[in-house]
Amino acid sequence: MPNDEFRILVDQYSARVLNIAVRILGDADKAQDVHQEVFLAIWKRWHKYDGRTNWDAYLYRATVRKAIELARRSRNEQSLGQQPENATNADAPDGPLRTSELQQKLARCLAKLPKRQAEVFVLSRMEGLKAEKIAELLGCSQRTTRVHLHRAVKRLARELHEYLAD
Amino acid sequence: MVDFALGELSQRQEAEVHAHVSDCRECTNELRRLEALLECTKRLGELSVDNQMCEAAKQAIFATLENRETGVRPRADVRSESAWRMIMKSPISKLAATLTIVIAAVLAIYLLSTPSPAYGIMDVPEMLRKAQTIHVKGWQCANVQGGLYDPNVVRAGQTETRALLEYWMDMETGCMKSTQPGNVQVKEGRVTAPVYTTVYDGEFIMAINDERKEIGFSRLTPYQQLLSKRKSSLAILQSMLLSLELLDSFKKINQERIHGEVFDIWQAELSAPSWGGSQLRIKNWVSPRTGYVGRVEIWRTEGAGIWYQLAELAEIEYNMPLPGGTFITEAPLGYTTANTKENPYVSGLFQNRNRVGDQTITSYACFTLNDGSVILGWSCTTGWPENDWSLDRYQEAIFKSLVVGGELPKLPIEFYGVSPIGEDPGIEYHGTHLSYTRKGSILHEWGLYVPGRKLDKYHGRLNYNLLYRCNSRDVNQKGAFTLGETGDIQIKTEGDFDLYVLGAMAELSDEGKPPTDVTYASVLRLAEQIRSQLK
Repeated sequence: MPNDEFRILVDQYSARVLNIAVRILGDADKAQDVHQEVFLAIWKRWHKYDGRTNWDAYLYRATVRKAIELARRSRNEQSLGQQPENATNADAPDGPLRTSELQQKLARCLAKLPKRQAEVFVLSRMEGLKAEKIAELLGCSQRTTRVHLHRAVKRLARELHEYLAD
Repeated sequence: MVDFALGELSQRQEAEVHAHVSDCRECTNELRRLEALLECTKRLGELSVDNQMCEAAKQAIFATLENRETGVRPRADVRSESAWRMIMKSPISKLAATLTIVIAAVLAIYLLSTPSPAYGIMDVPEMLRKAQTIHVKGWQCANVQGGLYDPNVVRAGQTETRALLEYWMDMETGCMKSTQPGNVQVKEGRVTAPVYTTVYDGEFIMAINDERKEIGFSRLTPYQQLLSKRKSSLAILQSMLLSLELLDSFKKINQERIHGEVFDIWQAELSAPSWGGSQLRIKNWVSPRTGYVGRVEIWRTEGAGIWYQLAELAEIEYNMPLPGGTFITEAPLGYTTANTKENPYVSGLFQNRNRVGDQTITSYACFTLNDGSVILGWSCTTGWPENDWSLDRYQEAIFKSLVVGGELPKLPIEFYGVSPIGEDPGIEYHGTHLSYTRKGSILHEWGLYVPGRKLDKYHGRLNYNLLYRCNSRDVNQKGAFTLGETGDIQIKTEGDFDLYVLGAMAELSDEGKPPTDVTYASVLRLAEQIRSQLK
């Protein structure tokens, strides 16, 4: 049975975890999966936390990781089914539809990035965190953070080339 | 352009880019694409779930925990309508949803009809390499000054020598935190085992001496960072297997359950002549389902059938989220710092260093190519290279006279050949000159070592004996030094070659560039040529 402290933690951070996951995955159902995995993993190790854990940092990082991991798994499943990449091009989607399609493509491309690049990109561009904060969360220097961000943007722009208007 | 789009340029730089972009169609298009990407990302960042979904997700967690015993895993049954509709509007999503169901059904049938593979000890290195994160915790008998695992201390069963051993590793970035025992000290009859912690954040290494409350920083060069990432699984592997060459000796002896999961117990024994002729026994619990190691024990005996335990890794986790701040390299409060990140110690690239007489022979990096041939970087200097900055001028003439594919430099000591450890015993690789680089006062030989025949097998985890001989009239000595714990680097593609081999040559040159005439194709050609001559 979860104790009060754990309930408070879930109460306090659920919205943040779900928001991060839905932004990365663009899928509410999968975001709930991430939410469950993150908190159940914490509960499993609950007895090991000594009251000094920085939950802000831990949950940011754990959620981004789990969401990207799930996006990767989904990507692999899709590639198993050999989903035709150009299916929607043939449908010539209109504006709003094209936007949501681009967002999904972005989620899929994020999953292809090296993990650290994807983490930095999400924290910087989706969560709006500053380099200093990201460096603290990921335990690296600000310079490294900037290099990862730079590489991620470059690679995403290249991967999404045909979906980004000329 | 990316910096411009991200708004990270100074005003002056921005103005310069503006001026250029207005005249350049290509850059205008690139900038538009970058801006579209960032705008799309920003919109994603504005997505949020509603209260109803959030409440449902929370309740699902509590319900799951309350129903653990029955194994039921409830899910929130309320979806965020806005997000869901947005996704399902797209025809690609509908197709994906259908495909996912079909794939799941096909996979289920496939899995039911195919026996699942059982993993064994030989799969352990690969499974470790594939893991994203690893956490290992246990204990180890601390080192005793002057020798590992002093039998007098261990035999007496003094459990005080058991010290914490712990690793946290991010395999993708190479970041690592390790806690290991230092040398045992005996003060007034009391045995203490101090513990040292090292944190590597991908660039800096912070060494913490908890006993003295001291911190020191060192920094890896970009090439060393690359190597460290490549070899991140080795430290863990060695803590689990003791030596990679032992893999072939493991035998499955039993099965046991850990937390309900079945593990095969694999055991290997080796004699350790350097520890008074005693025997070591390593036991690994490997899950046949996942290929992961769940427990490790190391024992020793000096005969008479009595075994003493030296180490135990009882807590091993894979792919778990790392606690925030695991790899932060900031000095904790109350610790004095020997130096700072602004003036870190920068270590040179080297693997192993040995002294014969007044000469030092150093190996820097070792690469095994796809055809089995080996490239080894080494140097021979008078005295220790750090202390003796005067160039051994006589070497310049020797190196200048070398011919590609010809003899290695006849220095006072040379690595004339290499020989693999553990596999194809007895085979010697013939060394020839490939190239050389110069950094500071030291000339580095890059030798190509080619086996005279096709190898029986190659597991891609070779360690080598480096065969040396002394060329001076006074010292007539031949022998071998092992490459060292970090082993070789496998080069499978031209990309690997450019990154690692040419990278190492550039690292050990004044200009930071590799020799222009060394390429992957030219080295493979040369190796083939030498092999045909050796036949």
